[in-house]
Amino acid sequence: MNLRVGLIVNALAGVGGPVALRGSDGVAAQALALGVLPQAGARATEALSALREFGTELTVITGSGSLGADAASAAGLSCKIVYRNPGRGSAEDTATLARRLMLMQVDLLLFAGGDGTARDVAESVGDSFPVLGIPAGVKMYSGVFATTPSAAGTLAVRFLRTHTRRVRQCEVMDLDETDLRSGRIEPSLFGYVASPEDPRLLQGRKVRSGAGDAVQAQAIAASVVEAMEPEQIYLIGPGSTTWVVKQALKGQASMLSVDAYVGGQLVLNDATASALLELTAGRLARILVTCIGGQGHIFGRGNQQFSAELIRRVGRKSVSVLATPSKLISLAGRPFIADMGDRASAAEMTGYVEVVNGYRSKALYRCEAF
Amino acid sequence: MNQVMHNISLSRFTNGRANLRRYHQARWDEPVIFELSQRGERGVLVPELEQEIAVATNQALSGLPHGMLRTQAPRLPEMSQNRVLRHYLRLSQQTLGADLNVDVGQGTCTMKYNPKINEQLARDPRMSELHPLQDADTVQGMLHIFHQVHALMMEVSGMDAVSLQARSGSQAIYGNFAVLRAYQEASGTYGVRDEVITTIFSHPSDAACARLLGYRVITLYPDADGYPDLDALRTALSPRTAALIITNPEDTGIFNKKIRQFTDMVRAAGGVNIYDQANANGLLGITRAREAGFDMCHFNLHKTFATPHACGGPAVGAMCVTQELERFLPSPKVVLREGSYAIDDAGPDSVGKVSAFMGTGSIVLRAYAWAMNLGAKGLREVSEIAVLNNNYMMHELLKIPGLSAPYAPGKRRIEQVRYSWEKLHADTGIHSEQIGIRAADFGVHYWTSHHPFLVPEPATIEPTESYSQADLDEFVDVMRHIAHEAYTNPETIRSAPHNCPVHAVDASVLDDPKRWAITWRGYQRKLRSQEAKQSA
Ligand SMILES: Cc1ncc(COP(=O)(O)O)c(C=O)c1O
Repeated sequence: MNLRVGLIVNALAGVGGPVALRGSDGVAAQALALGVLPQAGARATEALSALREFGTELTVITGSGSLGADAASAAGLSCKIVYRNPGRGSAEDTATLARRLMLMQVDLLLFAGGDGTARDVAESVGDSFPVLGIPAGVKMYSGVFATTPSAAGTLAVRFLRTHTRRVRQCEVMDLDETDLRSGRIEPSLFGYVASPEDPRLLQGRKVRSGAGDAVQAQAIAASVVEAMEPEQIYLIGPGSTTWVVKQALKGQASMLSVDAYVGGQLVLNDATASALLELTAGRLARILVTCIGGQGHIFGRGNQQFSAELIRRVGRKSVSVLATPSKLISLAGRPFIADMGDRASAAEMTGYVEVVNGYRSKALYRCEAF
Repeated sequence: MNQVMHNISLSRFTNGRANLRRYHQARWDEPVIFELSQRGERGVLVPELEQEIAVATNQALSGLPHGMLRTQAPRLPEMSQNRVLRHYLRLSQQTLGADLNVDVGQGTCTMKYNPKINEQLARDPRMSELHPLQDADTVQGMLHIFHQVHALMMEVSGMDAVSLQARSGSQAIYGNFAVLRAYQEASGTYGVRDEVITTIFSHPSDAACARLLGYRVITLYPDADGYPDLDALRTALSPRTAALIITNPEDTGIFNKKIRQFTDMVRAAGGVNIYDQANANGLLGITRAREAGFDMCHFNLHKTFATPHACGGPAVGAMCVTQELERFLPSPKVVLREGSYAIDDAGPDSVGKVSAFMGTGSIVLRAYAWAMNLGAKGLREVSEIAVLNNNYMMHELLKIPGLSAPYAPGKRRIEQVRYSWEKLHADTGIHSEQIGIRAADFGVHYWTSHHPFLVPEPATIEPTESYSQADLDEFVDVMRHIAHEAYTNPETIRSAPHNCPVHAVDASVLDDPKRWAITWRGYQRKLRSQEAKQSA
């Protein structure tokens, strides 16, 4: 079999948490001085120990010392060091090591850290290389993290064992830590990475769905595109599910922007809040967004271009959330969240929202707003 | 007690309670039957044709269109009788069939005992040698049984008319949507009212069949108590509403007491109410579709009415409708005219055929025998025992650490429960699927739930009325033992099965069109193209 798993440990991830520093960027020294013991290495070891079942078939490719070699050895795995840095590890180290591991085409890249680490990894490896996060940070808004370190291990084992190596697109989110320390919470969407799809959501013995999330997203997009009214303006938000719709329409848009379409044609690319208000003045518009997996935000995270005024004007009945059934289930029954910061638009968004979850298939899902 | 008996009882009981079975499945390493073929080997040597017959029949194929004649003989396996028999007996020893295990782990399927006397009836030549094209005059007995089963279904559902043509539950659901469409076409609302509302805990065939007939589907999620969300229904209803299709109780086993409110709201909005009663095992003689406000329903005779599931059929899904919808039912239909039975075309409004001929007669016969043996009181008793068994089992199972029954805490359930091993998984990393594989080591079958897993780490258990307290205890003991292993020695579970012949199957091939093969021919084709690639 000869499996190669890449590993990056951000040794200082999470140290800000216990001393309420809300993050660790730039404050690690302060936290360590307060006596916080770094946990990321131990969490990585916990996840890695699941990989022992592959025995000599598996090698961990990583950096020296606390960058990964220590954690791999503690888990009893053989490892190969491809990057040496005597220091404690920095964003630089994460990025360089991630790039190297991608060039070596390891089977899966595991990293232990938080949202900041996820961003550094995402920027280095792009959105199609398989990456899985071992939760070890203070903030973990990104969908790339497994729920616990041992869940990360189990998921990695399953992924490495399957032939199809199916991945799904996961959001990489981060808060600006300086803002956060001053009490503002506004995570934004930084991009997407590919991450193992949890087969738990797929495997039922009685009914086997051959369709993974990617196929479902295509079905959703086909359904949305076929139902488009020629005169109406469609404002399509960022996200991997909405991106499939944008790709089916004409014009150069991006996965991270809010774009406007009329008659299947891009009319406004990377629109700002004021541009959207201007475009929709006196016209029929529909908003298509997706929800953040596991969290449920549909407005106010990575799509602040949809302003409170716009939401009031367009109305909840003209909002469609595009989400696969497994994405809805990842919310574990929690409602969607519209973080509007304005009472009137919050009232407008409170209630049931239409979800397009397959071909000619909808769900009604509760939304709470504040 | 002599020494031998004493040793046996020592090994089988501890403190008067049965120990876990020391089960081991047979392993035969049996190849696929095509691989056993030996050129020229025969099971039956057919005598040479006599000259006279050969002459009389040599034009037999001349009436067939040329394009329909095969150019090559079918490539069937060539084998002697004893090898065929051995082959299938060996395979049968490698399964955990319904008659072999305490089959309560296959929840939603109502795995009750199928009495063998009914098999005997079905195999009686008076049944097995009937031909569907026989003249009605020569099959009056069978038509009488159809007619009686219609009456039975009408009584159990409260509906006015029945068709037994569909050969599975899903086909009956399809048939009911076909009736809906025909009704809409007749009333001019087809295409205008094009939305069907269902719930996430209803059977996946409900949404799938609606979509097959061109409807758009709106799915409702449960509220915090596990009931379908009434407010969501209110929001979903509109002038585009064609129908509601719902199960009750849903797969959670929680009975929705507000069901009449649901159906009233749908009717007020101009929609039709369809009840998926595939599994009515907790409701016989207790509640009826009619009183709950439904216009159509269906029963799986292969669940509630104790006929075999037969590896995915042939079975029967009994479609039941109100008088208003009767003229749309499938054709042909059985009618009683002037004291004798006839097979009539169902007329111009009928949806036509959802299956060939009259459906699966031998299953109708089995269900009839079963129900008539029990009588009205007996049918109600079936449901009462099924519900009692289920609640006894839930009470016992919930003592196991790591297991819970999400939604409606403290409430009793009807015929089944969807459990969750979420806590056990969080504590030990063991998945529900792995528990199922380990369960096979003790000779019991176990199932998780439909896709997608709305209840995390699900297990669906439905004891039915067939199993004794000792049977149920045995299953509970297996679950308790495996949960204990998860907390103390999870490796045993991860490396399971230990007592079954087939080890960890790589299920990922089932999701990979490049590697799956549904037929032997498909397998050969893929194999050859792979060999060609390798030698190139
Ligand atoms: C509630 C429900 N509806 C429909 C069906 C489908 O029946 P069948 O498997 O006969 O197609 C089932 C059985 O799995 C069921 O449990």
